[in-house]
Amino acid sequence: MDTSAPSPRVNGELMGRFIGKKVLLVGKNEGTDGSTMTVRTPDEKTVTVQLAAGSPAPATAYVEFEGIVDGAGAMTETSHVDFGDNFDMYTYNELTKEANGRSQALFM
Amino acid sequence: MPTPTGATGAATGAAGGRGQGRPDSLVPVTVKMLQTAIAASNVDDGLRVNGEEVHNITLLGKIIEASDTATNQVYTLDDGTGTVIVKQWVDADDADASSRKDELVVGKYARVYGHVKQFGSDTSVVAFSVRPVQDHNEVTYHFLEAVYCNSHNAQRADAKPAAGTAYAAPSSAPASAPAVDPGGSCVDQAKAIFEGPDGRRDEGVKIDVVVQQLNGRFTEAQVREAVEHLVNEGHLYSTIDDDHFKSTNL
Repeated sequence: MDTSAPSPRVNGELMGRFIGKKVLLVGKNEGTDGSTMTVRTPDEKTVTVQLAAGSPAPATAYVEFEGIVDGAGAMTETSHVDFGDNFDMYTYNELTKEANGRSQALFM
Repeated sequence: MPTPTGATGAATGAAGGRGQGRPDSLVPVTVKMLQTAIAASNVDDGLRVNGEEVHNITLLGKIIEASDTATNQVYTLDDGTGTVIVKQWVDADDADASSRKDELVVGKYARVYGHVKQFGSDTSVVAFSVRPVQDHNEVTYHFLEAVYCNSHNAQRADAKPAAGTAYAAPSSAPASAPAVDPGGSCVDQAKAIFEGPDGRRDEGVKIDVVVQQLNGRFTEAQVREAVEHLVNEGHLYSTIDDDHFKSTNL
């Protein structure tokens, strides 16, 4: 068991707290040019994700990216999970706030 | 949501009013919660989360490593709060298990039901069931359920020590309450005082006390008139003398 390197679940706003750190971000695919993807975050912000070279492109509308935050509104993917075409972003956004706020002790 | 855990986890929390963890409870946790619980528990004692003994847990996370031997499958699960090793013994007769196994690959989310096994300093989860997550709303659901169950148990743990003082706390309140004009006629207000905490003594309440508690809103004559009316209506009876009355409703 190892909890020394957590990947916090963030929304667009919370990304700012983790610049240079590993995070999990769920986004809605808003278009890709092959090397980057523009996604809409659970709190309705726009983030540009630098896709990992050589990994298969995200295939569904909602994607969970694991990666490093480059700055506000930008991150670099290390891996991703396809979250399907039906995902409730509102509730997930509430979870990101809870996990980085009141209930932080349960997550990191 | 496509899982029965919610009901089980929450219902256990609600029903275990005796404050004892029940051996059949199933608690949704994060790896971090598990780690904290293990650090806080001693070896002889069971695993405790918020003072509740925990036997069965459910976890949800991404498979980051999977290996397969003849007797068991070993997964390393990452739920974002940490990583944990999950072992599942192979049941050769379970045809469903082998079909599920094809979907339990690195990079996919899995739901695990199991119990915690401590072997030396090594902690792992022995799974009864590992199944792939189909609808990823279950990710949101699992973590919110973990938060919910945790706060539910934490509140219950907080409430226990306070129970002894719960009865004592309101005692001072009624004494000052009549100072506030509750409204209503002299008869109604006098009746309320006779039926209040002061009226519980054997001798009831003295008329002077009622006048005093009414805070000058009514004269003694008005109060005596109201009392006489209440006696005639059968709400009060006189006790040790003509100045003390007690309610028939107590």
